Amino acid sequence: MKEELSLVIAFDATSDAFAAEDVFRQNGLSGRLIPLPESISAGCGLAWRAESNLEKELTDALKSIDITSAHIYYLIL
Amino acid sequence: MIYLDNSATTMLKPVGVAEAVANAINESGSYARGAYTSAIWAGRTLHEARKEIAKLFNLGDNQTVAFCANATTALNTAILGAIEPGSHVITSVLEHNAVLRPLYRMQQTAGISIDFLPADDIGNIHVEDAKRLLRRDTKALVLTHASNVTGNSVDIAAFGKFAKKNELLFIVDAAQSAGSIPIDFNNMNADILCFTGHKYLMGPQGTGGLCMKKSTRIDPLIYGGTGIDSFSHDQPINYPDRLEAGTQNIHSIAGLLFALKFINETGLENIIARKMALFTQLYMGLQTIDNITIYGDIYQKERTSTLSINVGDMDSSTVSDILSTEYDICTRSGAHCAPKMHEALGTEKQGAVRLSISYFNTERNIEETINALSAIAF
Ligand SMILES: Cc1ncc(COP(=O)(O)O)c(C=O)c1O
Repeated sequence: MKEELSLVIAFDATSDAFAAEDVFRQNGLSGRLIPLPESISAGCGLAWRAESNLEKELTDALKSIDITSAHIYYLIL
Repeated sequence: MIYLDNSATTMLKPVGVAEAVANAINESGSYARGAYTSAIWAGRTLHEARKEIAKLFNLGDNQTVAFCANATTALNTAILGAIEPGSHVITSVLEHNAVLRPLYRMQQTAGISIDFLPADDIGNIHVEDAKRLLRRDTKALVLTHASNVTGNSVDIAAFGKFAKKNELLFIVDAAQSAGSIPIDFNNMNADILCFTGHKYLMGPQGTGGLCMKKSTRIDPLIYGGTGIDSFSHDQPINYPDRLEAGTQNIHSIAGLLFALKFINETGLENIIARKMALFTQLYMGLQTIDNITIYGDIYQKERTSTLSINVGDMDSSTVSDILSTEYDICTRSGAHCAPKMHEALGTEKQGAVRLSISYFNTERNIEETINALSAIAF
């Protein structure tokens, strides 16, 4: 699989990850839920992986549903 | 069979609930335990169920729902997890044991003291009594939204204002009212609203939850895996995740989701109108029978479709048994897990026969029940 720079959003709550997926899909934003990469945290959980140029659209969408627990990373995945 | 024990659990579910459960058994992985298709399916199902609850109970921004097994688990979580040890708590004689027993437990282990709002002779409680019972160390108010014995509703708006004014934690037991009385969580000044999925929400058993502001602090009742922060010794700090340890019951929640959609699509007001038409038919039929005593505030503007009665001085269990064995009509007798309500109504020896109506009962069901009871009373 080709490695590429991705934007990864980690959440403090699984409920937020699914609320985020819902609002991203409603806004037609591409990406998908992935297992939280170990390089972000050695815990476990879900993260949203998207193209690296979507930060503004994604964070606006999160703000619209009051999700404040999201952490944004850029990773080569 | 005529099923009139819907206040215990609704037996006739919307067509599609059972299929939704069966489908979930085939489709669902474990919520929050992976990012593969079936685990995502579980997460989406739970999220959709949160959205339908939010719509039905009018949750605002920064309010959420944590799912659990039933109203009993939700009430235990709220009472044991949010009431301050050593404080004074006001509750009422209408309460179910799911409220009373966790409170008694807190009395024994956390030194709380409890006062009970009395009921008048038709089973209503009044906010003036709460003002009288208020103390400097009163920190919480725990009330049912509707009595499971009389079907009377409690004026939650008035008690909410009272709680807000006096900075009390307000916990509401919506086990009987959810699906029977409109609930506006965002405007009722309640901090925690506990509901069950299998009664008038018409979902499967094993579902329920509590609605809360995300800022309300509730210590978990259950500690364990949540799929996140695995190396932390504590539960995640964010709600609802903090309260959802252990594998969630997605199979049943899928059924509840179907039932919630049915209610939201049919319109709660239409469901209420239908149930109250049947309730009125039942009441009108029974009130003409000399030997029958009817309890509660029948003419309340908002109430549930539950009617408790007695026939002369017959044991309620005898009446219920005759209804079952001779007429195949299912009712509940006895004390209905609400001991203080029976003391207030003077029915602690006799109990009461409870007839509780669902959206799926028919005029014919009610007619046959009236005929059966008039024959028993004759
Ligand atoms: C008023 C009231 N509160 C709480 C409960 C408990 O509900 P569950 O048995 O679903 O936990 C019930 C029903 O049994 C009830 O009628």
